[in-house]
Amino acid sequence: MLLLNFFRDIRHTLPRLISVMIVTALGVMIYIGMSGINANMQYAIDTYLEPAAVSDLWITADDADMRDVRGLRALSSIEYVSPRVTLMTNWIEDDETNLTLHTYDGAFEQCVPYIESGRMPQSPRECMLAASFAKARGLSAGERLELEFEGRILRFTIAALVISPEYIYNVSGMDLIPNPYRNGFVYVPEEAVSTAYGTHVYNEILIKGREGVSREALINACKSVLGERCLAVLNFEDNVRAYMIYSEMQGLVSMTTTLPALFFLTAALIMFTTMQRVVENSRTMIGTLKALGYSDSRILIYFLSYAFLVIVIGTALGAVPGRAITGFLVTIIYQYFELPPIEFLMDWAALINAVSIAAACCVGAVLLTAVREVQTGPAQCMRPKPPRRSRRNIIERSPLWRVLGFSVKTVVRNIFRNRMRAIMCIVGVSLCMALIVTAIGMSDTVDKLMDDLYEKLYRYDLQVSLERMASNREERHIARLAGIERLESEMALPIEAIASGKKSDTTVHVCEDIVTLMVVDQTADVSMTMPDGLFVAKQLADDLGLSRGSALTIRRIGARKTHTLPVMGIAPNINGVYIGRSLWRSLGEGFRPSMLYLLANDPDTMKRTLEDYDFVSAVKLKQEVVSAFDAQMETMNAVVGIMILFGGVLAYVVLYSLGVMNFYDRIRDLATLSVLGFYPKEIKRLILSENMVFTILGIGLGALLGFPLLSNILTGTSMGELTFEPMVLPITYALSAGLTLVYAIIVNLLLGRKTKKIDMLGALKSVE
Amino acid sequence: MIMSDPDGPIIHIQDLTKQYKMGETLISAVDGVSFDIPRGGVCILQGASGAGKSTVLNILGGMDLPTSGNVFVEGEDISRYSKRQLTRYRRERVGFVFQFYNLMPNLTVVENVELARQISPNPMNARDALEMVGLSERLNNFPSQISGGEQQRVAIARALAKNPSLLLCDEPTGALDYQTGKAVLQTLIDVCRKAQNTVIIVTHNSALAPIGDLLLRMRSGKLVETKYNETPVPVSEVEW
Repeated sequence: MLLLNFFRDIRHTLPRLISVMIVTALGVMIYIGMSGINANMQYAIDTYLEPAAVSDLWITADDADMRDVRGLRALSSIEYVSPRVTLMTNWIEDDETNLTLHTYDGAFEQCVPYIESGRMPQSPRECMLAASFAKARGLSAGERLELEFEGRILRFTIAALVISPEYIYNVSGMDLIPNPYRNGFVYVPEEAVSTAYGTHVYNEILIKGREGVSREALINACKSVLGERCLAVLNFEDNVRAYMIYSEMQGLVSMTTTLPALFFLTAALIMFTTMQRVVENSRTMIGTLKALGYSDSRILIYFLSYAFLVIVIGTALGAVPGRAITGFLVTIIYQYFELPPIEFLMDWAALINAVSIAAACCVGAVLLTAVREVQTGPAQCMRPKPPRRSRRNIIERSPLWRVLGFSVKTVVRNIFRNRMRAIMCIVGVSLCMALIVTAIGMSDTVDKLMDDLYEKLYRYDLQVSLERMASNREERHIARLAGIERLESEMALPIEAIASGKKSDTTVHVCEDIVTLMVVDQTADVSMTMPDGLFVAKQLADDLGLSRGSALTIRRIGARKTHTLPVMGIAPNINGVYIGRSLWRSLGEGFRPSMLYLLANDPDTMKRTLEDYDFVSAVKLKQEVVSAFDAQMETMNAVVGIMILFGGVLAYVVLYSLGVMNFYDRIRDLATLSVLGFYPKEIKRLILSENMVFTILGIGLGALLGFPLLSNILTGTSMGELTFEPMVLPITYALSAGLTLVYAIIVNLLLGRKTKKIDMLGALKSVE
Repeated sequence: MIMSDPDGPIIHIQDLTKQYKMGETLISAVDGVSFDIPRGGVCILQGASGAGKSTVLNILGGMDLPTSGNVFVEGEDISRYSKRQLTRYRRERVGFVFQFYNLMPNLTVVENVELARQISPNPMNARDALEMVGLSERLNNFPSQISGGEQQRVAIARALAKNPSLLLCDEPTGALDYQTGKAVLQTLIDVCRKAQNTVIIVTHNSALAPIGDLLLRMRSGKLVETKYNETPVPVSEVEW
């Protein structure tokens, strides 16, 4: 019979149970959806990168030999030592390509590539080629690949297409974002380059330390063995190509851990409060059941079945879309990385967390409330609950109180009397506001960045890439074309930048002595005179620990000669190192333009004209250069959209469920007011103004939280050399407040409809 | 003591019927009832549970509409009123005293009375109203801090403060103990006599029959007795 009552009773309690289920489902959805991103990235790292044994150090060495290698292998702190020759080559078919060639000795011990198709090379005439490059160029295993290195041609047959853990995010040379059309890598057996480079002589050594050995100890140990021959050490954490997925994961950490946890906790609080209310409202029934002789445990089990129902249905409803959210975002994130196919992982840990917290809240609420009611004894239970105690609050003690109207007083008192609800509402709304400020702030930040690029950095109309064979004569030819107003040329060369023992592969840009079209010092007015030293990209400066006045050593890749120059300036949003042409020449280096910046009368026509020249490899309008970033912004846009959505959902869940609770708590009062002759509008105003108070306070608090949250999310987020300076425009605050308000108003409209359900005759009945 | 009034009775009810659909059967809660209530004085509407007295009260209070029949209050037929007109009617012309007091728990005693004043076109001073029902202390207490009898006095003051043409009381002593109930009832009647309000007290308690100027007795939806009482008995003299 009790079971029958259970099902009948559910119909009664259904609206509330449904609202707890929805809250549970939303909480679970967002929690597992977002933390699933973290779990999936971690899974990718665990299943691919960890077994692939990514190196700890990439040491650039000066003619290291087998004695050095043996010395390193003898060290107890080192697990693997892999000496290799690394050469910067280009594909014979296209000078613009950069294919980094690495040798390997027999088998891979670290940075083990994943073979996408084909097989390991079986002779020195076979190689493994980057799968992404092969795909971009339509190459496949079995085809021939000819590489050019310092005038020599190296000929291979492609044995395999591979993905490498040291090239997950292959940014290189001139490109801001991975460009597999131009950049790639090749692994060849050591013997393949012995004629071109020498036998048992290496210029790079990969080190994998033993577990537990500190990075510093490892570096010191290597340096002590190699001595002078250790030119630079690249740490795993500084190696963007390998580390990017880790730093992306860290950049997303607050998005994938803190935020969803906060969100879920809010949901959990609501679950708790609502379940508590469900039991409290069944007080009379508890009394009756007890009076009929049902045991306490039977009654508890009865209410626990409610909790069970909520958890099972709520979690199930949340888990499915949560998984879809993870899938969607993970797909967007993965598209920037070169990873082998990785199966999608359901974040069971998060689901278990979510279920246990949800269960703890629902069961806890039921037990706490039901045990108390059950213990009060049947007679007490059947009597109405004593009215809430009332006490004067702070505002009442202030002189302000006298001037307040009755409805304001009611609102203030009710807020003070339900502090927990007030706090939950305010926190919920402020999270919503903060999420929206962060979301729109992200696009403010990006807009500002784009503006800076467009207005202050790129002041040209056209960017012309020349074939590497172009000469000054060809530059002069273009300069004389009708319609060209100004021309400045630049040479870009791959270099190694070394400072205080750290090194970075980057690019040197040799520009005019006075630049007006590609102005690295973005604060410069019309023109900028290149200083007597180097201008360094902020990112590079950060990586190498450079500041204005530090010394930086640069070396053209493949060259022996190094130059050490002072850093004269650091600028954001540029790439590599900039140097004036006269200074470069004075170092004894040559200049051949590889890039032209143009101001033209009619950029579109000029673009078409220039594209016909055989020594021009690419012509890009300024808009095209900037819009190349836009594609990258997609991840960010998806995140922004999802955050605005979540913010709204959160505000909705909190305001609506607590609003409904408040409504049912006071339905008798409202019915009385109705009998007394208050118009529905007045009654509506009374309940809804509370939500408005919460909304306004929440918006205030959220506005304060927005900027720190944005900074937190942007920390560690980077895109090539672009630097994100967190920025929130005043209009963004206004817009976010407006949007939050709109959410609140929608909730109020829905809640307002409930006032129609007020049954005046209910006021006449006894208190339940 | 009936006040003679040239405008005739304050309430004129004609063939009042209220039917509810309970599943497939039609139930007549009130079945063709007609009566007049003169202006001023105390009317006792008595009947056992299910007699239809609450339904009459709900209709008189503007909370429900009859299925058929006419309900004239001060010459206007409220049975033809729209929802909004009914709210206005409750707001301006009816004072209501509930069995369970129905005070706003978040408002103090005096604020509860002011609540009614706020929506009334011609209200009484809140403190005066409270004094009339014998409350001049603890005005700033909350309902939870005072006794049931005091709460019901506040509720009466709240109803009186609106200066209503009609005071409707639904089992006003139902939730009170014997002595307190008597005292509150006496206060209610005294105050109304003094202010010449028209009061309708709905009760199941037949012992209360002699305390009013008019007794209406209902049974199974029909009016079974209408009795004018020239000499109402003081509450202290009745026992139940």
